[in-house]
Amino acid sequence: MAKKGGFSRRDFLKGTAATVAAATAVGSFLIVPRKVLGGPGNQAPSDTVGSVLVGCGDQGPTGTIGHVREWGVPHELRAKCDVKFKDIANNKDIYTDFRRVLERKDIDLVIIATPPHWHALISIAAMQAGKDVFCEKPMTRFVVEGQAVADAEKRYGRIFQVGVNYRMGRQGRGDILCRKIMTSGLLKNSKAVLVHKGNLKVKAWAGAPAHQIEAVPKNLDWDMYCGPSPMHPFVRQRFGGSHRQYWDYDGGGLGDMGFHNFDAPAYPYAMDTYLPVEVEAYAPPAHPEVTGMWAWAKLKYPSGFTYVVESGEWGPSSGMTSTVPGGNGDNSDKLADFMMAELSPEDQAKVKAMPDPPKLINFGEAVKTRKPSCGNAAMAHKTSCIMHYMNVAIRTGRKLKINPDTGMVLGDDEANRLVNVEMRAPWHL
Amino acid sequence: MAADVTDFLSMMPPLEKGDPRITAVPWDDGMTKACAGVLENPKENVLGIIAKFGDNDDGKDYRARYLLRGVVTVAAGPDQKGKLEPVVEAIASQLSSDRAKQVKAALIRELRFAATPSAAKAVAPFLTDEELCADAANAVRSMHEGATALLLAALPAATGICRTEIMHALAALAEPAALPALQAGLSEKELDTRLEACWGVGRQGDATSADALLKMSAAAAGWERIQTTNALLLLAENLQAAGKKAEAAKIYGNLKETRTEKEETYVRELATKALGA
Repeated sequence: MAKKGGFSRRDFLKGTAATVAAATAVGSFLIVPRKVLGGPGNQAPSDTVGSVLVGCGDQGPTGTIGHVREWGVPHELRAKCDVKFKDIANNKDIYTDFRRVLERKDIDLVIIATPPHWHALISIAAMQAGKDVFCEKPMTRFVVEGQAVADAEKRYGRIFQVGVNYRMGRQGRGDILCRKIMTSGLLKNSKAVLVHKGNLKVKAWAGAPAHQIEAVPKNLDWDMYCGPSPMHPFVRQRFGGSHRQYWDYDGGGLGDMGFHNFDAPAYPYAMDTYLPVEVEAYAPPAHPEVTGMWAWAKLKYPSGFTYVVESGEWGPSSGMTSTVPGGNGDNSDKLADFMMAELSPEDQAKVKAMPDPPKLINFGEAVKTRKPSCGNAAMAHKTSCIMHYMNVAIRTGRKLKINPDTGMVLGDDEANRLVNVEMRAPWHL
Repeated sequence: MAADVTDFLSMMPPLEKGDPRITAVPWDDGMTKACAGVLENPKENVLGIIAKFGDNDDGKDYRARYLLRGVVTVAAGPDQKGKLEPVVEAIASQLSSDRAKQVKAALIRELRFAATPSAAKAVAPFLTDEELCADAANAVRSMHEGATALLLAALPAATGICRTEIMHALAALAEPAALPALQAGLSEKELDTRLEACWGVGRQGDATSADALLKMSAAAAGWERIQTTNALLLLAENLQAAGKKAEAAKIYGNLKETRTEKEETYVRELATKALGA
């Protein structure tokens, strides 16, 4: 049995009859290893992309790089980058500075699992360098970052996926119809209210204001860790998972868990397409450095739809209840019926005549087809704004009105300094 | 003259017993009452609060820092006319004191939220202080109106990181008055400063920046090439938006012709797409 070596999968698939005939001309037959062809259980080499993991703490190595494969992108981890690799960095496969990795020609995909204050900057830089991006939630730390990531996604034609895809479970007939209603522009004074309660780790990620200042560990590039955020003396709690407790790096439990909870309802209610026009919160005044407790926030959207988020961990209830039957995804047909009933018969007909939105595709299909993924930046940005505007309302203690086109708060400059947070040089969006 | 603010500080939420976090339940509205009380005699009370700041940013003075943030947040609110200026005056007066740098950094960050013209003027001298220039530049920048003039005034004397911060703030503000400084910045010795200038000229969208930026990008490699390419794309987009299609096409055409490496195919493709649009 003769074996022909040296044929790649590409060659085989491109092969004409003549090619195959030539290969078998002397009566031998062609044996091609299964792994070259790909298929179930066998990853074809041509499908595999070179990747780097930026942020090698708890989540990245144990969760994120696996999610990328589960969501359809086989990748070969060719480098790791973390600010705590100062003593072992070799700029070959171990880095402390993500800019050096982005200069590599053999990296196609950047997987980001750093604390959130770096998410937007590295996402944008990766896309500027021609790479696709998989970025852990929360996608961003403040509102304006999200728009900058969405702009880079569009400008560079790259594929971006945030590390949550619960919206894939809200593709029922009623969810689709609800989304069409919400995106039609026909619904103006909706009475629909959806209340979400709990699962936001508010107390778990509430911060302690006082900590021991320590010497910076020798393996840590602390200046790079702080990055765009203000420089502070090193305290252990600012680093590692407890970074969530600091406004400089995250948004408390709301910043950490918000996307998990809001991604699914954001799809049918089109909170991934529109910004809220009004936000208010009930919370004690916020500490300047560490996140704290809060009771609830109400977000009102251009359609009139109101989304209420209750922590369930502190303070009074909002006093509001969901008016939308099946609104939490348990019965999407009832949801659709409710929302349709808010439209006139003429408008109902217009909605029914609208084409369905494009089918959501997973990251793998997006990378192959170059079409936006289910967690693309444009959508993930608007979903993230749910958390961000809530935190702005919590930190200012004021009811905010928002310009839905620019995202800036109307008539409140101080609030806008939380919507668009200046960065330390040399970091900019 | 600093007032005794002990009573106000005692109204701050306590840390939970055995748990060093501010998670107090119930919340008795102490902060609201404390802020209102402070603002009845803002200058002396704010000086009294700042006197309780510890020198080393370890958070043990959390009540004082918490209260000051509360006062600034209330006074900076849209319906609080006249309340902010005395607060700013008091905070700003401590920047010239012999308080520790950590304290001044914290005060500058509060002035960033206040962002009045007098706050920016008080902060401007620290644009050339290596430890405080980042906070100072962000505080000046947050003022918007008048900020560019203060930044331009500080630029000649600024070196190192201070220079980078000022260029960064000028770039972010994107005001026409900063254009000459940004264009000159394309020749800065320090890479980070040069790249801030690149970003800035891209954002300004002035056609006179194109040749210098194209020349800089042609000679660049690695991260610098990535960033100057982005600046060129920004510039081209802004020119397109201003109706200067020929000037934008010159940039896209250059990118299409010069980005010949395999890994820059994406730049060639988007330039081709832009030319066809």
